[in-house]
Amino acid sequence: MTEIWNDWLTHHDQLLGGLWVSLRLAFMALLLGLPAGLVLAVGASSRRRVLRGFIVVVIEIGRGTPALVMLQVVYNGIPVTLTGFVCAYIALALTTAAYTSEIIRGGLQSVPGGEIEAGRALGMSSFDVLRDIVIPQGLRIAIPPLMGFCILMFQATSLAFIIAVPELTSQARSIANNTFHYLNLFVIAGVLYAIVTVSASLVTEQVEKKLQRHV
Amino acid sequence: MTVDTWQIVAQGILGTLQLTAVGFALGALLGLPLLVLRISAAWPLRALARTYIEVTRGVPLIIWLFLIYNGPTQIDPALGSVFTSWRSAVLAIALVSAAYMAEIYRGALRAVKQGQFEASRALGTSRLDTATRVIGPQMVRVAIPSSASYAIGLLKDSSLASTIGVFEITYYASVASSNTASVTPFFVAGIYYVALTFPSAWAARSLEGYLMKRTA
Repeated sequence: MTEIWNDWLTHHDQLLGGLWVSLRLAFMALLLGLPAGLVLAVGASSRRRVLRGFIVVVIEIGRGTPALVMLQVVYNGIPVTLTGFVCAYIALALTTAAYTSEIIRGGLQSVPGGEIEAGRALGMSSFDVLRDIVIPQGLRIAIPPLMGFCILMFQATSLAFIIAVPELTSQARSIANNTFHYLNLFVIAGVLYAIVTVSASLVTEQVEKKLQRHV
Repeated sequence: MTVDTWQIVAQGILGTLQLTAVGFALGALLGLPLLVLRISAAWPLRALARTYIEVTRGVPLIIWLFLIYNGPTQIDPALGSVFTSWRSAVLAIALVSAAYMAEIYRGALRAVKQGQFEASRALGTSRLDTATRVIGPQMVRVAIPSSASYAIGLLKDSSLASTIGVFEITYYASVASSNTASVTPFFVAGIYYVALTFPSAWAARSLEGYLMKRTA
């Protein structure tokens, strides 16, 4: 125990720096991925069969490919040389878009069909119905599962070490490789991850309870 | 894209399936005692199970893999031969799956109507029989869809085991990729994963449709 504490005292600057990178990575992936997820969700519930089929295939490929493989494909596959950071943003945003589109679609579908018909009957265009009736209500229903997904995405940033992004896992690994204190450093990294994720899931629980009162 | 690449990466398909199946089976098994603790009447047991579940799910799988694979060597380097890549990966996946499965079971238990438990007890059925013959079978039906989607997720998460040297799809893809200095093997790996998950997802959906008709 004291050994772990000593390692923390020695390396906390580097580890907290890594945690900050992880948080930034998760934030950027969500910032880029969530709007794309919304677009995919709307596309997947389109009435045009060809468009819908195409979008569903895109979503299934995005969800079927592990994030680790996605990172490698983006990092090695894009002919332009990009930094590990940018590649990690893109890869994690793609995964986010595919996964959240299914969550958002579930939310959009739970908006009663009668409201859509009522909107159309009042002469609103289908775009207006989508923007003013379906999306605001559907998104609210999707908020708790989306928050749960955000927590998973934060955890998935740990994979970015594979493309040399200096986030928490990568920092813990490089310190451990130098000092051979593998146990200590991965315990510390685990505790740091758990502090963020467990407190975030407690917040999610509260939000869920609050929203249930309004539905 | 040569035939060769397809064959090299395909060597890992069996490894991925084995790792997923063994890890998931162990996790599904370990999830049961964890569920019993999680809903136990004694609060210390409940708190213990809750803490285990929250912490296990809150820490990324990759950290568990490194912790189990590399951690013991800090104490005694000889432990490296006990915690081999394969064993560490199975252990890490099983421990994490147990936490997720316990929560899936708990959700399923809540979905079975409480009145049935009381009715069964009122008819003089023993607690064990009520659990195994009345509640259990229905719980399994409710739990299957979410367990299936968890298992499909696990199939993809098992790719992380490549980082500690388990011979599965992603491992062969990274070896092939660094040998040929091309990204093709990763595309191939992606295609294999999609090919594996697509039919499983479809099967899970039709199983779900079939089973939902058979629950009270």
